[in-house]
Amino acid sequence: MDFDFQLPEIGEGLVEGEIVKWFVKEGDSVKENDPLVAVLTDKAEVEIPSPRSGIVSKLHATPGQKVKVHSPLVSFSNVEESFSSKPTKEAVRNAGPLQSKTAKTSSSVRASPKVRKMAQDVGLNLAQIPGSGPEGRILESDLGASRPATASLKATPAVRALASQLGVDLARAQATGPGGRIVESDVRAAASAPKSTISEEERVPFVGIRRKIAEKMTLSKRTIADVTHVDECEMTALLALREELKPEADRRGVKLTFLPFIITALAKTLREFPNFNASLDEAAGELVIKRSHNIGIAVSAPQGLLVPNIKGADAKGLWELAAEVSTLAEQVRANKIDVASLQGGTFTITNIGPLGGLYANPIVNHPEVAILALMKMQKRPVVRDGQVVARDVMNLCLTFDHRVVDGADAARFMNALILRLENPRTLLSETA
Amino acid sequence: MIIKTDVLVVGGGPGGYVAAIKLGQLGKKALIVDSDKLGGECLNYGCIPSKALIGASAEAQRSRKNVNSGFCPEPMAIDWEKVVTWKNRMTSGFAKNIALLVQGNKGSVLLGRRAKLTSPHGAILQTPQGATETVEFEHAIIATGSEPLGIPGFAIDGDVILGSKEALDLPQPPQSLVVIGGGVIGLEIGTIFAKLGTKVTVVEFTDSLLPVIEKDMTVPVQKGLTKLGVDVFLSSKAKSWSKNGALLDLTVETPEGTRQIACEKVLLAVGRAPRSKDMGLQDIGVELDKRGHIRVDSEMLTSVDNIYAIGDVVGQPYLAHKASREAVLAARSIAGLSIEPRGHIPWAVFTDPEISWVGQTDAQAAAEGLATVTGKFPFTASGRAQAARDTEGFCKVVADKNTHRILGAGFTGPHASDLLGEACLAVSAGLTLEQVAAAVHPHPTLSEAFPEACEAALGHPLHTLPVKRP
Repeated sequence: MDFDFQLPEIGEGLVEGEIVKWFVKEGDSVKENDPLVAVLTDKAEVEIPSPRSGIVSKLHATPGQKVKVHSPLVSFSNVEESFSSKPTKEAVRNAGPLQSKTAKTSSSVRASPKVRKMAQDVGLNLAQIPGSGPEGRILESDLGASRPATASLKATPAVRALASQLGVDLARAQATGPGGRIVESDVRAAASAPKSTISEEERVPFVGIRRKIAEKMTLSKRTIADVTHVDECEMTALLALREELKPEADRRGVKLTFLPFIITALAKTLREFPNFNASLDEAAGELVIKRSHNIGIAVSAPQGLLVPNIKGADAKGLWELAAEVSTLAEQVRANKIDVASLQGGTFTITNIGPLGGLYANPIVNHPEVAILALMKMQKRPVVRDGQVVARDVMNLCLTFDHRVVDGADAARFMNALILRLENPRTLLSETA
Repeated sequence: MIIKTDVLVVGGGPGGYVAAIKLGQLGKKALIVDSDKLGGECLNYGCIPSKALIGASAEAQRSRKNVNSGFCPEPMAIDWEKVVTWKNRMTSGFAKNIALLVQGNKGSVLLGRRAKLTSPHGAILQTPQGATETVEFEHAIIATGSEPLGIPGFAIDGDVILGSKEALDLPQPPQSLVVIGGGVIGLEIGTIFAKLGTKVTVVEFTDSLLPVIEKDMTVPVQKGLTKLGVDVFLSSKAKSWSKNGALLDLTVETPEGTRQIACEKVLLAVGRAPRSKDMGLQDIGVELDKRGHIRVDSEMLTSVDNIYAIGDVVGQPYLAHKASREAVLAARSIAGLSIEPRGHIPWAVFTDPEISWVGQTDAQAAAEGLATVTGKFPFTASGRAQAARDTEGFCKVVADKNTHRILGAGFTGPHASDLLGEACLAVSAGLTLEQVAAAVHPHPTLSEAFPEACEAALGHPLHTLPVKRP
């Protein structure tokens, strides 16, 4: 049976997606839920799994091309046939004793010399591959069946760990080990090799989330009259409060960072300064003041910078926020964030502090009005009652759209925020 | 019957049995299969028995020296047959203890069986009687070691043409012995018999004895052989032999022409080759190199993803402690632990005097583009060596000229093998000449030679005068 698969709805209000990368090619057999394609939306890269098992007969778009929702993406043939018994290379490689119960050896299975050579080259054990040819003969296509794109890279877990520790892309390492495996010395050689031996530069396609970020940043810089206002905030009281709440956090099984406190303080401050929780509709000549406070948190993930937001942060308690912050961060890192979480933000926090830095000039997350950067918290000398003392201090950098608000507003906004953070017990109450 | 185990270890030598112990410690059940005894070549036919007989013959030799020095009235008489019996009793005691160690680490042992791999997860075991058993395993470690090489016309028969194994089991020293091969094994065993009064002749194919060792290190050994009355033919080739009454007539091609050497026995010690055949390795996809060594990576993993190989069968140097170290690396990899460097493999030759080395030689370091300094301390300058009447040889150290990090060190002379331990630590820990020199060593001991050599490399030795540098 043939089957056409259309680009499904991948997020509310999204009408198209850009093909980033195919994980399959025409002629491949895929299983249900195997990853088919990475599609980039306005907000994020989404991996679309295969709805059926079958053979890919046609890919309807090439990487970089945009596809409308509900238009054809992939055509399958032979969807009725079951391929579930066909082992993936990983399955073969990880074959435990259970699979070895077949008394077959490589030499006793039927396969042409060419297929034997190919299997040997990629480290497949013929005895563990079901053949689809006459009398169970193993065909070339049986070897290639559902082999993932990375399967050609052979390396042990320890070597893979070493590569990631040394920042070596395994694809860059030249395999010299037995059976064409990438071994420790290959990774070390790749790590110490000059980055480009042939040319002085390397051209990497600028696509996907990286390009989206570039577009958004350009748009923001082009339209927003951004000014950054910096102040410092003493964190001593907040540190003490967090310490005090630790047993409660342990009891609830929640990791209590500073972020929930800051989100709470921010939401309360935004209620006081609604123009900071808004966006400018230039075409209509209107300032759109948002009633909901959806605080975005910039999260750096392997696939790129993403900003999931916490909906209605002003209505959520500290513990609820703490749980949601860690859930969102985990989802982003696992590349499992849903598109809805990435839509509808009204204000953004970027938490650079844990990495370091005293001052940053963050760019407003268009079409929002302001963004707050949390800088490094450290013990610094400050003057209290005429004495220099060491205190835990953190800089806050607020970039705002000067078209919408003025420097004085920003200073007042920051003062109000700092007042809350320096008197953190107010954050525990519903009012204030 | 089907036997199931986490790891099948083929070979119970210093590679295989250490692997089984380590695997047990890391939570994996190992099964050792060996066609012969536990302990392998090293314990049963190599390192340990040869050291036992070297010790015995050295005492005989020493007693003759003692007569000359007036220490004792007459040379010691030695009952060689009893010595050999004692040696065999000792080694079989070790073999029993190895079995206990393996079992104490939850491993098991099946002896008298040859393993043949039938798939990456299966093997059949064959007993000499022809019975078979099947083993299923998650991983396998091939630790089958090596076997002596032959040369055309000289097949080891155990009677007149001996391998090292047979030579170490002779009930009586032969009247005369020709050693074919002037390498480590040939010289160690040749020296044993020379000290027992056998007329020993060494025939070496290359132009030097111990060809792989730096020339200056071998000089004391050459002198020692001359003193023992050993004849050495270099750049020479043993061609054929024939029986002539109770003796053999050996035809040898020397640079001065063909010679006939009469002797009672011939020891063939021309090298060893990996034992990688007839185990079904290549049938299941295990790659071998041109010389028959199993190809492995730094985790000792072969081209088949669950088959490991360690020891002699993966390559030179053929040393027990290399096999044992590789056993640990393989066990770690099987247990999913991170990669550890194998480390430098030291070596010791038990000639008279002994020679030992760890790390890089001067030439090897220079080949890597490193500028080096070297220092030597002769045992003639050691009070302890003088007192023990054993002053041949020296300690030598090679260090990086800029960082003074010790790259290699070794000894030739009394107890060179035992003295090397400290140098192994210094090289593996990357110590500097200054650090070793600053560590106080007990006086009077031979161990002082190492810091003295380090001081010499720094240009200011205490008990020798500095060598003028160009």
